[in-house]
Amino acid sequence: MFTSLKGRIQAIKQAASFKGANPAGEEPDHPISPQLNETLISLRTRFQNSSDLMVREITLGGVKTALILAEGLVSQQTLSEILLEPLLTHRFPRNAGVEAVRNFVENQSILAADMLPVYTYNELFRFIMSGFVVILIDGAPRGTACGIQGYSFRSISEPTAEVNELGSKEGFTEPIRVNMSLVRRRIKSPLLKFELFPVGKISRTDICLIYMTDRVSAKLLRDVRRKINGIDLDVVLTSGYLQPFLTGRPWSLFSDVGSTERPDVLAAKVQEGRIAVLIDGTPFALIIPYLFTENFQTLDDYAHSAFYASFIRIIRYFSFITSILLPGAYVAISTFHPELLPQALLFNIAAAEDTTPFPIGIEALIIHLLYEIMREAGLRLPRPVGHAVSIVGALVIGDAAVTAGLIGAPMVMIVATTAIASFVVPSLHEPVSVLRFAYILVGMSLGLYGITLLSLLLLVNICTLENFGQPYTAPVAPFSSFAMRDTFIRLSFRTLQKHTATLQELNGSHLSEKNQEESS
Amino acid sequence: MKEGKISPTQLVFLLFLSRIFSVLEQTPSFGDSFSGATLLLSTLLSFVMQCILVIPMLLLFYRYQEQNILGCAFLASPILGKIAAWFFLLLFLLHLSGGYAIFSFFMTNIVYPKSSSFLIVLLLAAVCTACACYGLQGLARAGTVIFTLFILTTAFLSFAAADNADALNIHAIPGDGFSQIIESALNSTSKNTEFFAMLMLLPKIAKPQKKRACAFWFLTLTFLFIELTQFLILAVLGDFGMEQTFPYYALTTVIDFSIFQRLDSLHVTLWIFAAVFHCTLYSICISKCTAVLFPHKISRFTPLFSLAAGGGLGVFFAGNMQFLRQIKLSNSLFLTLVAAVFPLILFIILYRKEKRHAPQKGISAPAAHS
Repeated sequence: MFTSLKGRIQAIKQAASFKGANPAGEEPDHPISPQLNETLISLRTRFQNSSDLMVREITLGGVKTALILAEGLVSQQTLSEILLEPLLTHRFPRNAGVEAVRNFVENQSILAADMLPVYTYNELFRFIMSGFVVILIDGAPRGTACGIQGYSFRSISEPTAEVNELGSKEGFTEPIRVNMSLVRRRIKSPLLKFELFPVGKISRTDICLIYMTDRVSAKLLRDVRRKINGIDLDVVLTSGYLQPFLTGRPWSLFSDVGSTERPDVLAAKVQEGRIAVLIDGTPFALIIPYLFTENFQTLDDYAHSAFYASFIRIIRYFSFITSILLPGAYVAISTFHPELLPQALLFNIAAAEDTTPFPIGIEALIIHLLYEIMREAGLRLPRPVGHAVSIVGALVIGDAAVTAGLIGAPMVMIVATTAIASFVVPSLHEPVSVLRFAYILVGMSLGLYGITLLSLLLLVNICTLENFGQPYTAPVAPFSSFAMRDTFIRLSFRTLQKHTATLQELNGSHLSEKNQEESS
Repeated sequence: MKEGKISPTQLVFLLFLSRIFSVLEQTPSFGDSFSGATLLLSTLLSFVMQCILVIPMLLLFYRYQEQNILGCAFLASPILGKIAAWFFLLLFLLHLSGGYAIFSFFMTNIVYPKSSSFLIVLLLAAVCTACACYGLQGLARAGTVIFTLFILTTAFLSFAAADNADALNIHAIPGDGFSQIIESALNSTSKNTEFFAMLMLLPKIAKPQKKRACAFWFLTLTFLFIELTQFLILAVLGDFGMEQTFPYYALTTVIDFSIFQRLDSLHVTLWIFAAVFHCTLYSICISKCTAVLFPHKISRFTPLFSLAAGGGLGVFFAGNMQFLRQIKLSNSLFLTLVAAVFPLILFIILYRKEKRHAPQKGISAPAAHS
């Protein structure tokens, strides 16, 4: 409890100093006035008499006192039990004086675990809007903030985007402190550090950097702090707002900033020397830096036996390549290089395509476009309706279109295979969708020549990506042999336990001092 | 264009992939009219020759760790540096356009007979320019992946070819005289134009003490690959292979494996990979030359210059292959002069210069230049 309190005080102090001590936005900070009336007028003016600002004025021992809070952010029950009751039932001597009241509030009545002094208006606004109750005493130069937050939020539930078979069923939820506790429960080490501070000039959204002090690279930590410090957004609502500021190349198709909904995944990544960023109000945490090969790893890999996990990983790589290349390669081969196909297969395809009115390339484009429309519709609509969309889509495309002779059956099979393959690696869904169209276009216009050129261009692009000095394609290129034990295959924990590899140890990483010297 | 060090292994793979381009397009009709046995023996002799040729370059770069050939030339004399930079700029440009032309010749004759060489060259040049813009590091990392794919594919092709091999083809290899072996070895050596790229890129490796190993492994890998391909061509195609314009391509067209009726698409894919690496490497080398010749304001447009000039010349050469043959871009005497004699001369000049200045300044040469 006390460790948490100390940590919180430190975090808030850090937060205050982080952005030039101007947490409330553009307006300069001023100390609060000892005159209660003056402070209340100023507060109401700044809040423009907002409906959710509640000011309860009481008199304690003849001294005017005010309790200030934002409605809906404070637990009413806690407010009554641990704050109002001790204050109102305590017998103050008549004309006790400001010091006696302040002394009682700050030192004698333990009102809440989180009790912090408030000196300035910006601190005052921030505490009120973070669910604190601020007690101001007429004549006292500072106020006292009591953390008795109590707003309703979605309970901890199974993550929807990262389904796991054998691992934990707990996923992040919206309040940042709940998410912090989920991580802390998994790494009970004093080396795990949470660094909390606000981002967004208006929203003042709490974000939290999480890292292991003994594993994180000092350079990485410094650079991440610097980049976050440079964010000049008014509002930060989801992790997507921060992502572009933390990525190495904002215009690349592939993202070198990872995202997870699972506290266990986050704990594992932090253990490898990465930095995680939790954002208040979103169940998705960011992981920096993120490697390409990590898209093919899931927590289930470590719950299954090593041979099965390795097999599944290879399947995932194969699925990824299939989901990008298959339609384009099919179009290219059917259009330009039919001699490559076995005769029997070629005759079947020719017979099926003979009755359709469109060239294979156009057919592929139309069906993939329809598939993307249906997928998006199924995603945005309420679930029961979404299922209906899927059924209608399957019937229309899979059956009616083939029967009507609009598209060939092989093409439907290609689309279905591609779609299913793309579900295997959901984290790469965005680039896969775009690249699939690019490959179809290139395949239908340039054949295998175009497909090979595009693949090479893409490969060089991915290989060029670096985030905070960490190559995106490590440990494959630059190659690190020791990391291969948990890249394409996973070896047994008997081998893995010998050493937990950190990012800095990978070849080509500029995160360690040694590698920096070498590369300079 | 990003600048950064690459590992020695990455440079070996890069040079190897670039070299493969000329190995896969070896056209006996362009002058290699030797028997199979001569080719096999001469490749070994060529390997030894190349190992000797690389020595002056290594001597120079071990003494001046951070300098490439242009840097060393500038150290010797600023005028010599400028002349060398212009010379290498033209040399790389010619090789780049030659690469485009040969690639276009192959594609328009074999794979896409109805396509225009302009389109083929334009696409390849655009991709190579984009890759060059990404920088040497990105290309080197991609090289690791492509090299792995290349080895796997070669192993697969060799395995598939073994089924089609005929022992009679090997026994019936006729032999030529020693002079033909020497001639063939010189011819084979002259095709290793990656020596020029080595002159520019060898100092770019992160571990300077590995330059020797880097050069050795590049030459060894190339030697092994050439021997393997020549052996396969002989074993499967026999004398028929020696008469083909693109013997390796001819080999892949006759191999069938399981449901695959022909494996030429694999060869074409590999060759496109090699072409991109070859041309991108030369584009990067062109950038290195312009970087010392022009201020940054101008030299940053080098990729566009490479695209326009290299692509334009490539299209011209593609339409005039006879002219390209007459220029004789691959010439053993020229290669020896540029890749071995020039570095040796620079080494001697710089050594004498140091000897003259060292007693007065009291500092050692490597410390002054590194």
